[in-house]
Amino acid sequence: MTLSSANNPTSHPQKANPQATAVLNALSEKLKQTLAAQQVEIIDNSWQHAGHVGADPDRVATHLAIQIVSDSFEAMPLIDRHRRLHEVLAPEMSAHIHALELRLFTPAEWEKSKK
Amino acid sequence: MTTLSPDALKEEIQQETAAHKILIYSKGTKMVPRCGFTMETCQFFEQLGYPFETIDVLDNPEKRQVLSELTNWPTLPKVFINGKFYGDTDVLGPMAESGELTQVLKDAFGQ
Repeated sequence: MTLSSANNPTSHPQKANPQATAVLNALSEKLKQTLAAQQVEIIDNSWQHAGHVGADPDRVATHLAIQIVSDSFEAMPLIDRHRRLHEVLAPEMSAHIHALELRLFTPAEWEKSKK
Repeated sequence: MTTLSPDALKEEIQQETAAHKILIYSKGTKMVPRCGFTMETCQFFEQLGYPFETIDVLDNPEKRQVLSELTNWPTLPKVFINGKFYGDTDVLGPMAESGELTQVLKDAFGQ
């Protein structure tokens, strides 16, 4: 999977949406600060779901895949890393996130995963 | 749909998670998934070659609430193996890669 840089969250190239970009940039910044993350990458897959059953045309950043590399995950079981993210993202999950994929690495795991 | 008390729902969940080696609380069923992640989770266990059951709780907010409290996990699907909660495929995928899941499944199925 190719992931975008943290400063440039991806959205569908033909449907770049300034509102979505602002939401994603703020989210990326929040995650970096809250988790002291070395890396935060967000892919916005919302455009793939536009118009499907239950989709709200006024909501942006509904379907997100987020990859985070952080020292704070050290010695934390994966399930608890996810719980930490659910806690941090609770406001966004009630506000706009409908579907969320998370890939959470320590720096050492991230290095290993690239090999 | 009859509405059970939270305690009765907990009891029901305990019975369900004890009755199935792999149980997925899902949106829709394995025959008719109503969520991309539910479909993905079913495919995950199909590929591993283990039998699993789905229980659709999409239209049962009371049970979803009890499930979220029991597991400290807000989203669906929720996967239980041998009565223990394991999260979703974002957790199970890396566990499969590391080989940890193979052992969990072998233990669950007495292999």
